[in-house]
Amino acid sequence: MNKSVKSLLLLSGLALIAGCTSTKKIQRNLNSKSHSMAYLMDSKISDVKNNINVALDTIYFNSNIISDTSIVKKKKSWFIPLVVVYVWHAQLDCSQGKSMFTENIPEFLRYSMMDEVKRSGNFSIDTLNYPDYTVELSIDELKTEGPYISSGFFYFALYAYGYSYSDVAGPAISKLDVSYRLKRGDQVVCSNSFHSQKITRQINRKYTNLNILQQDYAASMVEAVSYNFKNVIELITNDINSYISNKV
Amino acid sequence: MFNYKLISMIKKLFFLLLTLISLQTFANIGINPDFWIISQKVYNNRVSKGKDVILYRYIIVADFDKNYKNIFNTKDEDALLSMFSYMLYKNKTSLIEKYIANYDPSLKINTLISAMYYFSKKEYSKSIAYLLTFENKKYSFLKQLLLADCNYELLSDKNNFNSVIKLYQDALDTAETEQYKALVNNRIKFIKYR
Repeated sequence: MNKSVKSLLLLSGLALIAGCTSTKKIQRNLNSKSHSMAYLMDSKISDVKNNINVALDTIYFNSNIISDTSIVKKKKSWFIPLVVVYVWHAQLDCSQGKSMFTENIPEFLRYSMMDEVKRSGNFSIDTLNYPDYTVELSIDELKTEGPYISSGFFYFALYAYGYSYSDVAGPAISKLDVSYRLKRGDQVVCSNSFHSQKITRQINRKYTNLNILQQDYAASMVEAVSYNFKNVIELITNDINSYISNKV
Repeated sequence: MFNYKLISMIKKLFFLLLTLISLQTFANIGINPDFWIISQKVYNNRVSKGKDVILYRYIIVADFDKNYKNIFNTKDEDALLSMFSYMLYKNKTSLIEKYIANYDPSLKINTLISAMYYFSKKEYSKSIAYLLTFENKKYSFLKQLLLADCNYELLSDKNNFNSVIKLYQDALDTAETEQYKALVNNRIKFIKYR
């Protein structure tokens, strides 16, 4: 085989390897590092705490609502091998798994709820003394999904060649549903369910290392979940505040 | 003839480059490449123009005073901080060292200035020691933010940052403007994406 033809085939092979981001590689990168859901509270600090004690009881979390690891599935892909031009495009769907989180999910909700009540609740949260009320929380939905698009082309004509590829991640949609039941003894006195949704920004700037882009995508998904938890926890605390204000 | 034209063009490009560099309105704080010092006015300008303020960890000071050579002739605490901040911004090493060696310790602002000095040298433990002894409501946000940044920088494992969240929370709770709150939240973003 002619030496220059060999070189061109080698170059086109290298370009394709560099350009086509495999499903397994993205999945590996999304799962490679866990990210913290920690956030800063910005709710109004409660001036007055009344004497009512609420104990944070069970947190229901069906661990099957979210997979253990993040999953990447091919939605559609095509590859056009023309004589002098190769074009490829792949659209993948990424679903968040527990491996993305540093924290244990129900424990994170418990501690975040306690911190929020200490900050903006007009009641006290206590588990040691005999509480006036108990509150049960249930994580009913926790889902973050988003696309990942990889596309590019390679061309060559005699001794000239060139290639370009781009990977775009997101926007991902993160949804969280949490319900609560406030109980006095065995009797449910107040309950409600809250939903929060956050759409991440699309990551479309040029990364020299696509592994970093994919890890940033995972970080943005966790950031969205963190926002949703903050939002829902504030809503639940406000709801219980309103109930207790009416009772005092 | 051609060489002369080429040299002339290179000279012009060099001066243009120098001008562009000198026009930059924020710079590293002293020799610390991880943080940027900026005046409130310039920061407002960057925010209003939609420029990226997320990926930089800014230390915002009220003002820069270009008459920094007067730093030995004034007792005005705000002026001292503005002049010293300008010296850090321009990295006037010898003058900074001279001021730190000769300042009046009875002026409380010099405790904050010392903290900023050690911060600019990445000597975070010394910076914390000064910050903990400094009390001034006017600069409480700057103090809390520097404290949180110092403690974060001292973490041996930067991925395990939960211990400094409380300190950033303290900074956020002392922030009096939405802009300062955003500044603290951007620190968390920086930490999460680093």
